[in-house]
Amino acid sequence: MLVAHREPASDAAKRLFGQYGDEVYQYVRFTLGEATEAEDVVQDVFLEVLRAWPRFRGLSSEKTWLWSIARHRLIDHLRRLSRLGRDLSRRETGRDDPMARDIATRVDVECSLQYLPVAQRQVVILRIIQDHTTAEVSRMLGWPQVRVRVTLHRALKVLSSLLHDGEACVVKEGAHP
Amino acid sequence: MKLSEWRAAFAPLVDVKLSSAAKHRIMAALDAEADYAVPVTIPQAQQKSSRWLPAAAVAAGVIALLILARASIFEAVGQQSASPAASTESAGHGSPAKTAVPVTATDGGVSPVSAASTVAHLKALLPAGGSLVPPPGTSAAQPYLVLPLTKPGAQDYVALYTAGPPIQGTADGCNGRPCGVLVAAPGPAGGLRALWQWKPGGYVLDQLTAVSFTGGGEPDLLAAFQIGSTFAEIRVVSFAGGRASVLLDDQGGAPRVLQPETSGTLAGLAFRHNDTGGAGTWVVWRWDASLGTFVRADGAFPAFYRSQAPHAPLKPGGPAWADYYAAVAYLQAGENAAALQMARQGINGVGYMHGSPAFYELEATVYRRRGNCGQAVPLYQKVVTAQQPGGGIGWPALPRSYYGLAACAKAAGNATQAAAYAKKAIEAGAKPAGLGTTANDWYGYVQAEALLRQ
Repeated sequence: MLVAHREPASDAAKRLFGQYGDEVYQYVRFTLGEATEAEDVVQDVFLEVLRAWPRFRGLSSEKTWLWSIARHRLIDHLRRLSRLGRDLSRRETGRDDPMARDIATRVDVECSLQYLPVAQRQVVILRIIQDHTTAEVSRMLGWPQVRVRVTLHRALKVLSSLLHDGEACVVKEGAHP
Repeated sequence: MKLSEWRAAFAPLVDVKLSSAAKHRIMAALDAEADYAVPVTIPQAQQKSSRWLPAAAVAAGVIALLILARASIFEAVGQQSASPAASTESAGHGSPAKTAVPVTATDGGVSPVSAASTVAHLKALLPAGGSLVPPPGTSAAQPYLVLPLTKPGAQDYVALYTAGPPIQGTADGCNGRPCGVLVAAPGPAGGLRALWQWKPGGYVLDQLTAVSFTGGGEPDLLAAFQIGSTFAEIRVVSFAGGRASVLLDDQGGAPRVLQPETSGTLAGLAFRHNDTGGAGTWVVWRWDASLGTFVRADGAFPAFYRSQAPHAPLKPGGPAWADYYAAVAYLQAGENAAALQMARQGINGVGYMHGSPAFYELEATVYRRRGNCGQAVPLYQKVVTAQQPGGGIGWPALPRSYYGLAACAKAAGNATQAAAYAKKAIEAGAKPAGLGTTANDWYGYVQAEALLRQ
């Protein structure tokens, strides 16, 4: 299945960006909990797509391939953050995003995501927010399906208690400048 | 809660999307990245390349390493000027054979009598007028190497010979005359039979290495020759089973072969190569066991470069073009930080007239590819303001910088200015006619023309 190679890399990268750019952004942003950094990572992802396109052999779907790039770029970024000593948990999601300020609910659920470990966060994003099937998530993350299910189950359990307690991500009026 | 209820709870997040500014920036970065893509022609069959040879197989397959003409590119570039033109002029004219490490060369007639007999048999296989030239590490009494090329434990012979008139202007090669390679194996009736010859044709031997690229029990033979000052050819030949099989035959301008990587996952060759229509670049080949062929793996160059560089530290000033193309390779591999570092190293290591414009342009291009024209434009302007990109690798910087300025103007929506800069890029790119149509002078030209057409 080498048909994909007929398409120039720049065209393919732009097409995939148009098709999946927002989804990749959501995946990266909600995992990182930070909008600006997420944009940079998304840029890196699609630059990598452009460079790697000639090597894409069509053995998996474009989407699976794209997510594997996104996941690796995300992991690289998380490692960099970790090396810089930055705590990935409970980052103050939404404070840097004017859009998010206006929607308390969004901040609430988005913020609550940051209380989850990164692995659980990714599964929630892909399964719940982006509505991918377990099989799709399994391919995207390169995990067995059972791991996706178990991770999701644990994540929802944590989220459930966080959201019901209502203390994890309380958005207070005037909290943002 | 059911999944549907969770989805409802998270529904607001579905609306979170990239801002249009971010989308614009990323699209600009993709455009800029595409600008730098070097056209690489890979046969369709080779596009299926996939796996590296297992490291153990490669390492275990190393039989012998014999470097004749140059230990490495880094020594070679250290002897050259920073100019690509000058570099190609001097390519292949270094001293022959600095090292010889016939690790597993076997006793194939060391005694004077049997050596004399072998020499007689080898001479009988040479073309008329040919004479044997002792490879380094051998003697006039035994002017050949014995290597197990056809099967493990075999005694096969590799000989250098010269024929034809002397090469003008050099005492290198094989005593100043074109070199040829003869590979022979024991034949019937106690004689030798020729397995393969690379006949001399104005060639100057650049490298001869016996190493197992394919991971088999026998080493393959890598030979690289310079032909004149601007052309070179590299071949890798397998003799497994007693039959010569050319695994790789690549021709191009001024290739410089790095020592093949034999200790890791990369089994390949790298050399500078001016593709028509592409930028001068480092090329990496690696053996793909599943396809039974060498495939291009240029993206692996940074790793290759890192693994080789410590063995032959770069010399300040001399190997500027090697630094430069390494930085370009980093850029193409997406290692922007490494590309920047290499560019700055180049700027610090060379005088302005010896290539720093190229490094400024490179640094600017990294920024431009990141969508940061704010930092790119002043650097491009530095090159443009000087108007004299200098000799050596500096001269392609001018058309490239004009092109970079055009791309930034286009990204900013200023079509008129973009067109003006593109025209200047074309003009600047077309000027160095005396330097020929190598990739670099055409780079800014071709890209700018495309931009202008838009």
